[in-house]
Amino acid sequence: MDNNMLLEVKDLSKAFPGVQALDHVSFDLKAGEIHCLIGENGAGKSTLIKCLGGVNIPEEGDIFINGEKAVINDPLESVQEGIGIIYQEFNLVPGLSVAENIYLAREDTKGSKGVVLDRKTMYEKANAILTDIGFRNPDSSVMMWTYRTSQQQMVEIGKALSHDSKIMVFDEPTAVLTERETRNLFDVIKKLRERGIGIIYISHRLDEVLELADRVTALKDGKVTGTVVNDGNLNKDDLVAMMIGRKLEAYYPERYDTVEPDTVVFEVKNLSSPTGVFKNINFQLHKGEILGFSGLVGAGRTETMKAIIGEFPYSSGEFYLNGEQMTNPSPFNWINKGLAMLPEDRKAEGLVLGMSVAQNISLPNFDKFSKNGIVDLKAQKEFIDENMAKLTVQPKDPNRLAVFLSGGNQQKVILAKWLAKNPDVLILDEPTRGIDVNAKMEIYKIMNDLTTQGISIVMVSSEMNELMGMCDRILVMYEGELVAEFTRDENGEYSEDEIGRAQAGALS
Amino acid sequence: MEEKKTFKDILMNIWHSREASLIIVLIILSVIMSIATPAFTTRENLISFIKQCAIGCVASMGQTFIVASANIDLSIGEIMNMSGILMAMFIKSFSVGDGVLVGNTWWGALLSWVLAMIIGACLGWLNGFLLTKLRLPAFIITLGTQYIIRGIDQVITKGYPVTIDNGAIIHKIGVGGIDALGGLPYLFFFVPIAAVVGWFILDRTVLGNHIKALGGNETAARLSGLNTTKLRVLTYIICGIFAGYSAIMMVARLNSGSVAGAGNVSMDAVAATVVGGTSMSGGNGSVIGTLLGCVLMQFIKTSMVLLQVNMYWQTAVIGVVLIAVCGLDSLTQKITR
Repeated sequence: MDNNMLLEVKDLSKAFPGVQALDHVSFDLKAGEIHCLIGENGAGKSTLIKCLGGVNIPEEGDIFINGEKAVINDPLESVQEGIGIIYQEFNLVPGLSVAENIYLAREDTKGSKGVVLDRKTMYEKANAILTDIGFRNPDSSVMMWTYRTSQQQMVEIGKALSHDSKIMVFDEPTAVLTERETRNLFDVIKKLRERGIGIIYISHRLDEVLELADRVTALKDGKVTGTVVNDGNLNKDDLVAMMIGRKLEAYYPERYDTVEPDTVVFEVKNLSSPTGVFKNINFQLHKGEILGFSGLVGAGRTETMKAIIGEFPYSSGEFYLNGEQMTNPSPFNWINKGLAMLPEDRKAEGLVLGMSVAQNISLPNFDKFSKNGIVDLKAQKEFIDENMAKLTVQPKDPNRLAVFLSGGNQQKVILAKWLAKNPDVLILDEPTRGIDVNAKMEIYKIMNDLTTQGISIVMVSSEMNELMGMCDRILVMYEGELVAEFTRDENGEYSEDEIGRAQAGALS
Repeated sequence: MEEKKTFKDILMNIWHSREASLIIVLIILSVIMSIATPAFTTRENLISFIKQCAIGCVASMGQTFIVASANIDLSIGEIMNMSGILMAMFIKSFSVGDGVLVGNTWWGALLSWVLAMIIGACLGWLNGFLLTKLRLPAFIITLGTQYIIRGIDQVITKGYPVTIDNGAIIHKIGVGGIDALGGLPYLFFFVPIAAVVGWFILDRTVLGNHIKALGGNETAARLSGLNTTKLRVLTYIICGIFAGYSAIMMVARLNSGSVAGAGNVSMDAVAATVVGGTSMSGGNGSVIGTLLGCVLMQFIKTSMVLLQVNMYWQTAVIGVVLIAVCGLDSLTQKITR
């Protein structure tokens, strides 16, 4: 055993219903090192982190900290082992002060009884910690909710430091930050490295990885595909190859030429939000087309899509489906006209998780197997079987609760629900987020097939490769505005650099 | 994919079906009680049991719809009282021809029943309307309407019960029974009618499915194109109609409508619903389970009376049963992390 190692993970395995999230994963971390974890959504990065954090419990494998075997069965034990995790979702109580958040469950008290809070001491200690990580003139006595996202992140870091964490994990920390805030965060992270803290850094942004990493480990489908030292010769292509494990061409189906450029199926005119989340959005969708929406988190893509279906306030805007104007958009009205949306968060918005696959697919389709409001159970069963078979939902058990399906199959259930309505337009918001590679390829194939049936698709995605692989056109949003439109060049390729620059608002 | 069911599978299915478990518990308790005390198996006991149980059973069915949609209705008791009071006033106040009260004619009685259910529906609508317009938690809205309705009741009645003459049909229904069936109370027949209607709506209709979807995930239901506002209002109207229907039974049994007639029925209904297997977080719901839950609660109360346990303990035991049933369920849930 290498005594140098702060953390060693050996042969860790963890399965969830329908997916092997971690498959004998080994990983290690030295003191004073930044070790980046990369991989597509669903590759197993989050599960690995959750195993370290005591949120998930691995079925096989061991975790060693400073050479000693560590058993982490709950988040408290993880903290006691010196692991501090900055999750994407912060664990902060908005109605408590900043200091009270940092010292939650370890509050300073007056006297020996441990009853009356000693706020003064807590504020002083918390201010000192925050100052230490570069926070200028912190006031830890204010309520947590008054802090901006980037400041909340600092509080999370401070909280981890206050626990004497030797290992710190950052899960996509820059996803919620602006460029400048990102620079600040990097300074903090580098400072922590100098102090001998071991840092695990997860990111999709390969530029960040190349800048920060001492070593990089890539995961794919729950397996480690490689660990490399960032010696200065590493480039993005190397990382992508490690992440995807195969060439891009094989990954995406050959797009059939289904676009009818003369037929506009759906059009949005002058769509603006009262708060400026999206401004003056105009676009047309042609028959049989897959139109991509690209942009960074917070660029306003999801809000735009929600405004279209009437789930987000807008101050101006017109919508036309097959030439007919929709004056009062709502999910209900749109579905009857032939437009359906697959929402970004399939668990919170797409499915009723506690209901069966059959019930979920039935939801908007009861008119097809009921009479006078009374369900014909036999007709329902036939309908469900037929629609599950069309999209090969696995397992083939219509009575299984949606919560027990893998991500890919959950997505298929939502698609099946809509396809039975014969829509003309589908809006897919992050259709492949968090699902495994094979399921992704199936979803791509389904999308491809749908366009041959004359269905037009708007696809919102944060994965540029996916958009470039699937879309006939790509629109880029930046800070609420449509800033660029891209089509394939004569070789059928998109310019990744240009799209990337458009996303960052750096297009000349 | 049909698989052969082993004995163990069958046992597990019973364990997982709240209805089946409750029936088994009731059978076991019945056997124990019939051995423990001869008073249990008498006709009188059975008749009084049915009379005590019937009203709560029906009122709880309404609550089941609300809970299945992940809400709560604290005003059921008050809706019952107001429906009962207005129904009793209707029966008393109008006479047909030679001083014969409207409540003494069959058509008048039926009219008064319809009236009670319409009042229930209106009050249910009020709950649903306020809830969806003001976007406040159901707890607050129905707590508020509960006070409002009770206050109005007090103003209308000045605090006195509205008592019905003995000649009224509703009175005969309350006290009478079918002699050919050993004096089975007329009130009994209200229960299976409500149960079948309730079960049918929640289990077999589009509306019932939509209500459960609303409770399981309101956002997903809305994005699936369901009119969730309308659905919420409808669940409260359904609950109100059940409350109005149970008000008919209450007036029959008490021979009056009053401010205090329904007592603590709103919370009892929540307890029966939860014991019956409907989750407080919504998404599922079983009217039959609720019926059995209500029967179990009343069964325990009656048994304690027969066993001459201090009557004040009855209330405490109901609480224990509620927590025990739900706690057992929660502890046996498979925890996967």
